[in-house]
Amino acid sequence: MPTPPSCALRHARRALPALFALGLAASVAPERARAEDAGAPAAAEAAADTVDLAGLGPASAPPWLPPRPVPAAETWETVLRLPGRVASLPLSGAGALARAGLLSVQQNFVVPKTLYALSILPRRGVFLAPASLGDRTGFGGALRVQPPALRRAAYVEWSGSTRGYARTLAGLGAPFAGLEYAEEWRPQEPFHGAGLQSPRAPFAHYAWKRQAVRFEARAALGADRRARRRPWLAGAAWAGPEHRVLRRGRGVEDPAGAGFDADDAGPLEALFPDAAAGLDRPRESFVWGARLVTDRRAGRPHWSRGFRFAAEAERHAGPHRALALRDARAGTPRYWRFVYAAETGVSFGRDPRTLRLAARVVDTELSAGSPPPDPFDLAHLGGRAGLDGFEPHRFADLDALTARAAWIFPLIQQFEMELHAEAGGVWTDLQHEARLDRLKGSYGVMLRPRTRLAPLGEFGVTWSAEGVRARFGFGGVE
Amino acid sequence: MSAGGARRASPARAVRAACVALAALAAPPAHAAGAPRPPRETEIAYFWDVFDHSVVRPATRALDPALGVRKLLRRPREAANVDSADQVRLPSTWWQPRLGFRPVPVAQMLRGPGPGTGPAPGAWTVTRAKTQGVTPGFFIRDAAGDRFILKFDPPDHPEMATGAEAVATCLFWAAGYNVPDNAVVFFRPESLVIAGDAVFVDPFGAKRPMTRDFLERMLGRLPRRPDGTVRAVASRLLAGLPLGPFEYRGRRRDDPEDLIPHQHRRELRGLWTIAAWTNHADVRGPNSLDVWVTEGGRSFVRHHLIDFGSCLGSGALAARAYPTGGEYFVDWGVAARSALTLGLAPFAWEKVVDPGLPALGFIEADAFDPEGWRPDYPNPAFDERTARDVRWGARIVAGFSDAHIRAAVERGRYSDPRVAEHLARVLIARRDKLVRRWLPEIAAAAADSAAATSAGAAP
Repeated sequence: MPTPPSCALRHARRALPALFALGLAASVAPERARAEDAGAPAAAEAAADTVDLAGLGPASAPPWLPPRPVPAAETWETVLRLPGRVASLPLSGAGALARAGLLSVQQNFVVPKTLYALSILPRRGVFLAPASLGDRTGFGGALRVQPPALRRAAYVEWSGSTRGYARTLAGLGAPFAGLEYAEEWRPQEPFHGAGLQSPRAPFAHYAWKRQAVRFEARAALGADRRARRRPWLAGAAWAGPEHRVLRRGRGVEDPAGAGFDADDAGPLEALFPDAAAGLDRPRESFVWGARLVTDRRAGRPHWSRGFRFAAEAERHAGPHRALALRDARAGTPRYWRFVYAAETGVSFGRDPRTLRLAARVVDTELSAGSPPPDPFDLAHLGGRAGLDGFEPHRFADLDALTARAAWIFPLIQQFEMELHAEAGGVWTDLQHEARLDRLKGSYGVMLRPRTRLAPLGEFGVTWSAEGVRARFGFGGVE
Repeated sequence: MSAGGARRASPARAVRAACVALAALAAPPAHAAGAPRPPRETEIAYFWDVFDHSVVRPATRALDPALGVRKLLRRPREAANVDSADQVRLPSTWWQPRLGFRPVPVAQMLRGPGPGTGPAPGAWTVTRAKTQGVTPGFFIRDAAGDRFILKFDPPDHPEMATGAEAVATCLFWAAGYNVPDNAVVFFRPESLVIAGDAVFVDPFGAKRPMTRDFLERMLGRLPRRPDGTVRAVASRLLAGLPLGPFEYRGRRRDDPEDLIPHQHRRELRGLWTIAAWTNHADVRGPNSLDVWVTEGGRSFVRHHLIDFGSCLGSGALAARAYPTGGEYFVDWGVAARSALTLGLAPFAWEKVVDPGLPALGFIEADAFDPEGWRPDYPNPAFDERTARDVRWGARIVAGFSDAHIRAAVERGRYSDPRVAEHLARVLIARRDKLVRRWLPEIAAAAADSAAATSAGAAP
């Protein structure tokens, strides 16, 4: 009776390994080797081993050598490559330099030394990081000091950038509450006018300074630090005085003559006199608000499932006489600002391909009798604030809406790619003026280097009807 | 990274090597006039090596008209050191015919390049610490005076790197390559003795005397076994003068016995098959060591493969990533395919099953591609490989019987029998895949024979 094919296959699979070796070694193998191939236990083999072991060690005899050195390439190959070789000589030189430089780095332990130095600082409560001052602020760094002796409850942080942006933070903090003083100087903020139809050029630069003290109380439900589980609902409420002042933008030196700088930027008071009404007039206010966030996002290396919803309400009221930072008599625009943000994602695959959808709404309600808002009081779009195919601060008004769809997928182990499209707009009154057919569109392709745990940064291009922008960033991508 | 123990990357090392070379030059000839001098010590810039092979060389190859012509005409350049029977011309200082070409008893394979027993019992004297890198290491001298380097496992993966090193050493030796004598050992930290002149190099490159406190701090980071011992792999320092790593292309022009560009050597091109089989994705220049030895009345350079801690399922510090073997770190082809399909085309590795064995790391056979396996980054010799080179390697892989594989895996001394069983099963399956693809005649003969046996055995 013939053996069923499946059974024969099974037998073949079992016999394969032994037969491979048998087939190859049969001509030279003594009986012992055949027994071994048949699956004799190694220990038994070891015990019974009497084979002459000579000849299996590395050779010490003079090796076989060709009569002359073998060329790396044949003559015709060398000839064919010659033009390319000549053309790439500068690159070859640069490569040789890079190689020598990197060898020197290696021999002098530069990388371990640097890593060690960087690892020492955090243990001593000193942290260095790229500054997070926003788009178009130049290259910047942040230094944070958080002494371990104070159980990291107190901190001071300085941030600065090559374009003159600066921020100082100092605070006392605990998981449930914190008190923070902030001082910020932003010397060159673009302003294109209010509204979605504002022209790209000309535009103004303005500067502003902000000082604020804020007390914040925080609470979370459902958090478990040991299990690294995030709270299903987190809330915060804050209050404190704030002092702000609008200044002329740095780099615009000739306000009287309405001269324009190299960026086509002019003085605020010449281009937008209404928005410049508050120029050099201190604004003193008392700000209080609250925020609720539920964040169920999860996944690595980028968050690939779940959702996040945040709602925030903030009141900018007149100054509190006892708590004013500078001048309790200074007036200020008074308004409520409501911000709603929602995002969700779905994915598939072991290395997640993720579709993300997000929307953000800013709704500002000016109080009756309030002075007009200063440019920094407005909601902005452009750059990272939304519609990243446009310049930062390209659009500004009281209300704003953005919607975003992104497709993130892996390229190779170390890189993933993000394709995204955004639509959005700004209006004085979102509810009554917004029209979906008037929304501005923006698109982007970003390459994101990553580890197994998180993206490390991103670089790529974004574009809109107004042009193409290169974008890059390190850390904090998610 | 560590050498078969004898390699160091410090400037002091270079100075010492230079002194040795100078001394050799200055000294009267030991044997006869014209006695060979050792070639100068070399060093590879690791960062450049990665960049060069991941970016520069792929770009150069993509634009190489000669390579284009060869591809068009289907006339690849074959290895330069093979005879008319397509076998490596012998003798060779790179490779010695063992499994696949001659019988190697299991016992001999386990003995490998040395006794395979590790340091002799008794006091182990620590002479130097290796502090560079994430996992520490110690240079020791055993009671018999032999010198070793002890290397350890990452805390989250006890047994993984040491096991991989011991198993792979066995396999690569049996495959014919020159490797150090590595063995898994266990010791009590308190039994280590610090030599009077023992030093360690601090993170700023300065040598400092080693103290008991320092030793205990270093050992304190290592995983302990229930009986309080520490597991390590002991790598016996290679005898001879270390000359630094070899590269997988070009040649040492100051070595009169190095006349064949390495990328055209059969032993290095065919190494692809053994590396693919063992998932040795870390096979690259820095993981090799040339040693100047004097044996049989002559002095010459012997070429070694070292550092197998990133082999099999081990990534040295963590388990191997699932894509290992399926793509390079920077794989332009895979990236282009992913970009063009917007990531919708699945990767082969996405369906693999992770056994979840920390001591194993990750290695599997189902998604293993016997044609397209890739190391972490392109290797020049592998890039030049032809079907004949791969078949040569496949012959070696086919020479490993199940018994050889299981015995080699036992060298890993895994405490969890599931690890050894899984690893052996994966290696057997990967071997079978390679042989079926590259030596189909043997696979067919084996299948016929098995079918005949089955038919004959049937009632």
